[in-house]
Amino acid sequence: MTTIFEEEVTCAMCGAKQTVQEMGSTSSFGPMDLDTRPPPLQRGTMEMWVHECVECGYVAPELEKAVQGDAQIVASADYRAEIVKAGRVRQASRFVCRSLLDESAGDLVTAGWRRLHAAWVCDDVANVDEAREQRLAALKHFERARKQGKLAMKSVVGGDQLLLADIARRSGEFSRALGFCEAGFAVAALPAFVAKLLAFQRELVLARDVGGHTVAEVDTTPATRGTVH
Amino acid sequence: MATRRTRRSTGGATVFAVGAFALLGSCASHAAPIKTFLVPANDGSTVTNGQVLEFDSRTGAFDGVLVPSQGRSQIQGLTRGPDGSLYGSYFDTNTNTDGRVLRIRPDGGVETFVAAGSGGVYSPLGLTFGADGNLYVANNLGNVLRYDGATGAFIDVFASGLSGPQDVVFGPDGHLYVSNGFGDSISRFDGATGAPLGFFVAPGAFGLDAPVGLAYGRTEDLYVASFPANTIFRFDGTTGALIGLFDLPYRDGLDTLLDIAFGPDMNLYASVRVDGVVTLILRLDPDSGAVLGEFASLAGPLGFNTGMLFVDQACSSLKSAEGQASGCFAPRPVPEPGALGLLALGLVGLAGMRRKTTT
Repeated sequence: MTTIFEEEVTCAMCGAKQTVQEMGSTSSFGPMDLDTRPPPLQRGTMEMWVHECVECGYVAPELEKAVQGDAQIVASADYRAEIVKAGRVRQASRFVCRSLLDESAGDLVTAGWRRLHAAWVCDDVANVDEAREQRLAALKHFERARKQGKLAMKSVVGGDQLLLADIARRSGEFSRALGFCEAGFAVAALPAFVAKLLAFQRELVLARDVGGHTVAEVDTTPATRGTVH
Repeated sequence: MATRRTRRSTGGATVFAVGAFALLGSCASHAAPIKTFLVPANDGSTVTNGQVLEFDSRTGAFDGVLVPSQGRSQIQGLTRGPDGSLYGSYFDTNTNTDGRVLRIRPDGGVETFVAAGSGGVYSPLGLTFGADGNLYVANNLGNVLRYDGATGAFIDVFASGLSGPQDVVFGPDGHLYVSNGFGDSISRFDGATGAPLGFFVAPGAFGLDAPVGLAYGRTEDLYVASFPANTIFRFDGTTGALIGLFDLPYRDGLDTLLDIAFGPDMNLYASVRVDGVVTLILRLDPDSGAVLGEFASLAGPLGFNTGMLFVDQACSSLKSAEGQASGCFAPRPVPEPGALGLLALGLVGLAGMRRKTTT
């Protein structure tokens, strides 16, 4: 069950007062996807992960907060075009715009995650073209971050390679996906479950599979197990 | 959809058989030579997924889009049937559904040949016609499915026990060879019965890693594209011994060796996707593996796709490896439909003349 409450906030960008919905708590049923995309109930809370000011279009997890340079980005042509982009659901556009702000602030890892969140929203409405575009953008941010020594997933050994392999695979970037898998296999003290997930990614690549899969599938996938002649 | 390929009009009419035969011969000899190079292409978007692009097989010049986008379905294999039609394997790579084979007729019409799910087809990849005229399809559930080559009706599971089958080809010995993308090996099956004959190349032998495309060359050696390391393996077509290893000068893990085929000039052609933004068709020396040059390039971020093939009269120079085994097809002259009608008229005329002479 998810608990939601309303909160009155003041936009840090334009000063407009408004009411936003905030999440108190939520439950999670079912496994997450290989890219950590949460199961449906928890995914339903994504509307509350970032908010859009009803007056100026500023997007933030907390509208009351902004950093130097945000105003310039919000006023930019790119931002204005992204927030109203036709053919894309608004919540995905909010994540894209937030990504622009995070990128401008130099936080490439968060910018990448916002793009991935946008892709998840697009997945839910079966907008495969837009989802792919956002994953490619996420991959670009995460790869740039890696060059700065910053990882998208630090909590699990080999998790960063696993995440990037999935993003690349789902974008149809199969060579890059395999490249991340190989890099993951080479990580010292790789946990067994990460190795299994990397092997599963490799299997999916060879099946030309760009679809979403959950971590629960690893031992149950029907693809091509058994005796080989 | 219509192709841009046009055929010479037969013109004039004659009711005499001799005239019709002469005209028929004229049509076959004067028709523009077929010299095409076909490349399946997907870019992950619904706008361009499932296309077949057409190039000049001699110059590499882009001639246009032969088959338009199939929406969410990507094309993963292409071959040419005995009837002169192209056959492409398609499925929705987002959902792993809608696996089917489409037929692209010589007149450009696109139709379903193997219906979605028929015979358990899941995600079809490479496909080929056998000597029996039937269609063999690598199915990613670990088997090769056989379909009636004329109707598309499911016949049987011809071969099974495979590990991520990618491509299928009949060798000069008549047996079926299958690349196990996940099993890092090449399997061989009796070409008539489908009985397993063991590994032609054992798992991981010679460093074989994720083999994808297969093609036989003029020497009847088997060439295998292995995409993780952008390498082409050349195996002795009889023993499976490694003859050569061509490591293409591209970055592993970033660039993608997609497929191989032999061209009408008997050189080896390889498609390599570079930086995710362009796919280059390279011409390689089949003996040394040296890159002889870039034959063609495909702009745009094309997804993983296999099944490129040549259709060119000069492909007959490949002799026993020509056609399904090499990806190089030499089309037989096809009589013009109009000429066939005139031929029929001529035969009627002949019959009438004979009747007159006998009465």
